[in-house]
Amino acid sequence: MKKLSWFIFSLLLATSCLDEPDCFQLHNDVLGVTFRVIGTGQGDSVLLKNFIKEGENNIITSFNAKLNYFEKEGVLIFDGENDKKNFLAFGYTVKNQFISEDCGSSFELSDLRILDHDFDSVRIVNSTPTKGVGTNIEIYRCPETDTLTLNFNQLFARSDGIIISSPRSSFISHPFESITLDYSDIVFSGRSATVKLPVNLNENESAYVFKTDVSQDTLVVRYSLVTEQRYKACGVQTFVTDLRVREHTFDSINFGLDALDEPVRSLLDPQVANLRIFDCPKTNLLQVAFKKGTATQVVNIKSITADHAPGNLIKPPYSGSSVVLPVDLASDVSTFYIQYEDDTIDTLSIRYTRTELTPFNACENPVITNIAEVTDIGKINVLPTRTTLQFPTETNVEITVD
Amino acid sequence: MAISGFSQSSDSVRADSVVKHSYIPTGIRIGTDAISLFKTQFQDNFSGWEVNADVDFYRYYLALDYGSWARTFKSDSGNYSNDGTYWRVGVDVNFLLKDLDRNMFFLGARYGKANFSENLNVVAYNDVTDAYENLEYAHSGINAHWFELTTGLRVKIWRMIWMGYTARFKFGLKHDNTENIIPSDVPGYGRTNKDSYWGFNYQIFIRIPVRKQPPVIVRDKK
Repeated sequence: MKKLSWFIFSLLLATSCLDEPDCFQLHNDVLGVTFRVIGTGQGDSVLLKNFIKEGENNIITSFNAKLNYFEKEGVLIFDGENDKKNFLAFGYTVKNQFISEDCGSSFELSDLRILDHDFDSVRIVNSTPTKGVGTNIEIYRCPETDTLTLNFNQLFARSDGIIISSPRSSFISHPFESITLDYSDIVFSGRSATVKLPVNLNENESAYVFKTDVSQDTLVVRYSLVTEQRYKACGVQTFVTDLRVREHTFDSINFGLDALDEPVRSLLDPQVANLRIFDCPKTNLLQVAFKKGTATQVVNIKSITADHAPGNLIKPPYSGSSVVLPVDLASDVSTFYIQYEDDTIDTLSIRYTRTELTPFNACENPVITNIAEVTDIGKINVLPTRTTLQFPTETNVEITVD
Repeated sequence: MAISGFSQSSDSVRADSVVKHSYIPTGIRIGTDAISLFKTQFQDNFSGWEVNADVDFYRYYLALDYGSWARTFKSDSGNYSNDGTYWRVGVDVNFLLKDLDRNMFFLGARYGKANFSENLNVVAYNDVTDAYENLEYAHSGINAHWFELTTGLRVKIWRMIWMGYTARFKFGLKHDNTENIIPSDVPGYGRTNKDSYWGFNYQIFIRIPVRKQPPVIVRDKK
């Protein structure tokens, strides 16, 4: 009986080890390609035309390509920006292995090698093609050394007129009519929160003029130039270091910080923000809401004028349930004249306190608080809990319309 | 050094002092694997046999195996077949030293080597040509080798007849780098798609004594 138990145990042990292989994704026929930049080795974003779908442009950092296991060589053609074409020719070994009666056989690809290419540099990081996960080939391009990166930010903070709280910033895009370099070439136009601008590699200084439909700002940066061969594949290049801001007309400018919290004073590729441009919060914006009874009311307004500001403060014809109006920062009183579509006029006259408090050190405009009507008019109501102007705005005054 | 005590039976003595073991072989055990014979008889896709032999050196056994193995795998998308021979050599260590019948429970190790040929035909769909392609590959003279850890039993059934099993943990397979095909099955080893593999033999032996066995030493319990 003891002997029989031994044999039964052994048979169970033997049969328990029999299992079937997984038939899913039998072939390792996927080539993983990643784009990188020489020097930092960081991933690169590349615009390719007709790559994923005919007629489409796609910005990609990596992709997978299915290899033909009936062949032993392949070529990838890259149709990039400005009709620039590149190619990558590669070879590989194909073997077949029977897997199981259920699965059949699989094609096993290995020994991936580069045959030819016209990129700056290419290297094999894994010579065995995968089943869909991983990188086999890294394609490198030389770094661009002349690109200054700026991003635009809006500052926010809350205040009760006594203290500042919740300071923060967020990216804000500006509709640039033009950004010019050295007062001549337009190097950017369009709406963006981040702009990449060329620097003048022939000088140690570049000057930029930023134009929007409502403002114009200038920025002049200085830097040092280093000409040397850092990467064999790229030859001799001129690098920009020791970036400084010589002058500007923006509210505030800081250097971008790298992973070590050090200012990014060199122009890097892939680009990281060298300079962060900040807009101060607008502390003088009064939000007026229109009501009928207790419900909000949409009104049609022809014009809003003020004693302290020239022209119409709105773009007529205006239709809406609220307006945002700038109070006079040079006075403790502001008066607005709201002319409706039927030519009736409401006069909104408010007084307030200009504190010595500013939301940020770099921002001059004071916090406006203690808003009140100059003369109590029944249809105008200053909300008692909203007597300090905030940015973003919130309703401070309600006007009841007929 | 001396053996002292009194005779307990014809095959055992009681000992209370240092014992000198004899490393001179007492017999050769020759057998075959019943599972291989059974599979050859009843499975269409396997044909093979295996001869096993061991010889004792006190508690250590020099073990030799030699076998033949031909296998065929069929699938909807193609067939694979191989045919070859293999051998294994190694040592087993017996842990049942006090068994009066000299039954054996052992742990051991083997080095195995195979030489075989293989054929593979595949029907595969080519995306580029939009057609099925028939691919045929064949290789011969392929060498493979591997290692095994073994355990098992040898039980005396009647007079010279012994039975037993050997469980094998096979690992470290290396084979020739063949063009076009990766071997799927190695004679004596089995499927190649895993880093390790279990094998099992159920064996029948004839033990041929070459000299009289020394008595089993049973130590006194204090």
